[in-house]
Amino acid sequence: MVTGNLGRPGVGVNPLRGQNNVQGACDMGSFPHELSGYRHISDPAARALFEADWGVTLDPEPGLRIPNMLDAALDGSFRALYIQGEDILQSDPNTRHVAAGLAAMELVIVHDLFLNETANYAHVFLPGSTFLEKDGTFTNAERRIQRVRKVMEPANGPDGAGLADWQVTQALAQALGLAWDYQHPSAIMDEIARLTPSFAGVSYDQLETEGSLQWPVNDGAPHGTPIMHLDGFARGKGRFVVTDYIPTDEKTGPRFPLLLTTGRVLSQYNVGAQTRRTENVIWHGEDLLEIHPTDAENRGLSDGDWVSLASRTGATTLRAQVTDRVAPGVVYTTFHHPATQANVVTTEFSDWATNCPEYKVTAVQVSPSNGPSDWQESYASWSARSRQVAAEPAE
Amino acid sequence: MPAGPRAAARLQQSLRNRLMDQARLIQMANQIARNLAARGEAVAIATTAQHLRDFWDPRMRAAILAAPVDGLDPIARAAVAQLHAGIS
Repeated sequence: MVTGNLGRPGVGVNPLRGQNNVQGACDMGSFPHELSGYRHISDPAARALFEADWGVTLDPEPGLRIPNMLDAALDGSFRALYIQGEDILQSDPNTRHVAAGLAAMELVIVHDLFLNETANYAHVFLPGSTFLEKDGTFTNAERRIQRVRKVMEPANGPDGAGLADWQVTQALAQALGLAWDYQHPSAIMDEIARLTPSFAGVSYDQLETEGSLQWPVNDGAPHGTPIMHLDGFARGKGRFVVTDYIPTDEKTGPRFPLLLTTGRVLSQYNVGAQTRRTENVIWHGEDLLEIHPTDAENRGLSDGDWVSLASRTGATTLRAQVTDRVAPGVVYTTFHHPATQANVVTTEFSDWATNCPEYKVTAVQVSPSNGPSDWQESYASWSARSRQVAAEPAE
Repeated sequence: MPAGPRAAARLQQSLRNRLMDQARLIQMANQIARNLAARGEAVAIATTAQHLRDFWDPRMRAAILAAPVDGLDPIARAAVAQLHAGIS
């Protein structure tokens, strides 16, 4: 802002998203305190629009974020969860806390392409559809809304009777007594346009004509808005806020002297729910703990040794990879494989403003090991039992 | 679903965890206050209180209002007091 690198072609701020449609999900009010178009739920005018269109009264209070949902599940005030296309058991920090929260709920519905790790705690599993089996839109980080086109019928039902994800959700809503009757995702987009000023001019026909559209799309910008803030910001020249460096509460010490940071590799996508089921496992078949030669030598570890990785929240066992790719005092691993479950080690500390988990800073100790951790053993046993299918009674 | 022993167990679990929840919420409130402290005490108190109103579910706000104030930093404590008094 201070150097003028906004409001012109070739400059601006673009977040590097971890998934292809994070922007689209945020645009549509996936935060527990917002309606679509980033309008706070406490805004009476925004709420009134939806209330008139949907014929319901909306609660003006913010809802819970995922970590707090799990806390509330444990205190008994949060009892059911419908999870679509996410594997929180493996992706979220402090796995034992996630598992306890899911186990405490009265109803967990998982709607996914695969029986993922969260599905081990599901009371109901609904089969999902891939991006090739449904119509819709993805929105990328430059606010560009793009069509996703169905090329085949969903294969999650017998011969042409499969259902796209939106149809499953609609059937669920109808079973709950709601009169949802969308015939096609384009009708859902029409409703979004009706209720979201920044999407007022978006329709499937317009997307077909233009190829893609960058919001805001409205009467003032019928072809979209490639560049925002051309003449300044909503509040004029913008606003700078003084902030201090506030270190994390997570500290190393005698018991946990190393810092763990977790991340991803190119050949596996996020928790690997999809890519682990492909031949990509040739490139990355297990999570390894990268450790500096000095730290390895101090612990009597050699490349390929089984090691225990422990923090104040939990422990797991995996093989060590001795490498100077990491600095002394720092260890690194990925979170792609449920046999390892690196997040059993990460803590519940999070960003103050958004509660984004602090995956990059966990105080840990590494030591030689000759067997799986208690959690790995109990989880493997639970996972195997949860996937047993009862035999049909003999006729 | 039989309510007796299961409901009692749930209540006991609830009471145990509520205490843990309060510790976690106190930590979160302190973290918010510390990150806003650079804006000056009065602004930091008001902004922390507004943050709790804007982003905390009513259950979380009720729990922090019922929590012992000993663990709260001064800015967080004043923000919770504002929340309690309904000052906007």
